[in-house]
Amino acid sequence: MTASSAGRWDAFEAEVLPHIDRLFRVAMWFERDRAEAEDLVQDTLRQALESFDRYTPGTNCRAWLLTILQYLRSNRRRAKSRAPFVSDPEERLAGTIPFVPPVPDRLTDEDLLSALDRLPAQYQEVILLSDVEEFTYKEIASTLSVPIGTVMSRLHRGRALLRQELATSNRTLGAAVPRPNRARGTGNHGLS
Amino acid sequence: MDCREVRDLLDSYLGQELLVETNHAVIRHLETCAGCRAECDARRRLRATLRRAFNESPALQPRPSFSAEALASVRGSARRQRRRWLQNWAPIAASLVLIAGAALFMFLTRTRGPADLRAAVGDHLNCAVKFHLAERPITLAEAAARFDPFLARLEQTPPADVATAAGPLHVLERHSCVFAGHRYGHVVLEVDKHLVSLLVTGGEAAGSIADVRTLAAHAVDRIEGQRVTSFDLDGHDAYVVSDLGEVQFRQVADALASVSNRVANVAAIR
Repeated sequence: MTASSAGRWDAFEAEVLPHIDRLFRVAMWFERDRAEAEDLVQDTLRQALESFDRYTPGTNCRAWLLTILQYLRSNRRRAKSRAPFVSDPEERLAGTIPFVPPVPDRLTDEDLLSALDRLPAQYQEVILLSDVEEFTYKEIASTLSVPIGTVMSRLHRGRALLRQELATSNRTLGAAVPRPNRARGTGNHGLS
Repeated sequence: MDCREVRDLLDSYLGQELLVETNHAVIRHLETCAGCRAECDARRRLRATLRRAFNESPALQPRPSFSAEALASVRGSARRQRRRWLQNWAPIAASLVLIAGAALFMFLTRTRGPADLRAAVGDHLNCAVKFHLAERPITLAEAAARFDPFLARLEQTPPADVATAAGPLHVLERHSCVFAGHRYGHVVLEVDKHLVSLLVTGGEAAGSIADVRTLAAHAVDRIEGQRVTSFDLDGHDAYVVSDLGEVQFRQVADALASVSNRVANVAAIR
């Protein structure tokens, strides 16, 4: 490896290393399979290295990496399934949120993650990017390649649905709900 | 701003996405409304819990060695890709360089086939050594006026005395002569009691100036007991002919090429 490519690698490694664990968590959340998640993260890093010249140092590296990860995820899903994506689930679900119940007083981590997991994927995505990754609306829009208005409406509805799920599980089960073991590719985990 | 409006904006408020004035309006409302303040705290708590739950969930944690392994794998792929690229393209690039080098060499030595070299040697022997030409030589000024203006430059190029590694080189005569159908500008010189001819003819690629540093690498031919080599002189073909030994000949030829190009170039600029 030449000095310049070694220097490029050092710069790349310094930028991405702090974000790999987070990338993995997001990949693992959506892929539900450790090997698939590791594969997705490695592909993301490979792609990132190839386009590292286009990355501007000092900008949000995590957002850049997650954008690549989402893009690869989207391509993988398209390659695996010919099923059409739900074009506008927001419209379909708009009338199903009659009210926003209060946040339960007693809330375990497992309750919360299980409730999140029961949401359609497009709501999980925006909630994770906003509340876990703490991205701005603009960064989320860029990461998911959707308009900012879509990000805001998905967040609004996604949070309301999450509150409903939390209220339902708290009322009916009163305890941790095991994470459903959905078959790969059959859940509503697509990017729109 | 009423409670309904504030609750619509609370998530954007927590995400610091509101404009300054709207943000202030929400803050003012929260200062006076316990219900909205409790709702705001609940949402903030929910976010914090989700963030912690997600980041600390054992099921979502990578293996401890994953980061290092992932980077090593990516680096390995990059190296393999680079190697593949080199394997695929390096031979092509090398071939192109060789072709370009060969083309350059052919350009630098392009017009001097055996016949041209032989003619130059013939002129040297018949003009400089034996003075046995079919046609009487004419002055460079006349040749410049009648045949090629470039030949006038040989009146001062090379200068009368040239210091060379083989010893001082002195000009004996300058004229234009004809041999085997070639019109030459001819400068006869002497070094260490050996005659040396600088012969200039042609001029098809006007403006091209040889890189004199390459001269030492040029082939030196031996024809009829003489050594002969050639170089470009401002688009003309220049020959050096003498019966000097190999080393001395190269030293003299190198000096002539160097000084001729330098002087010729100065003349061209003027």
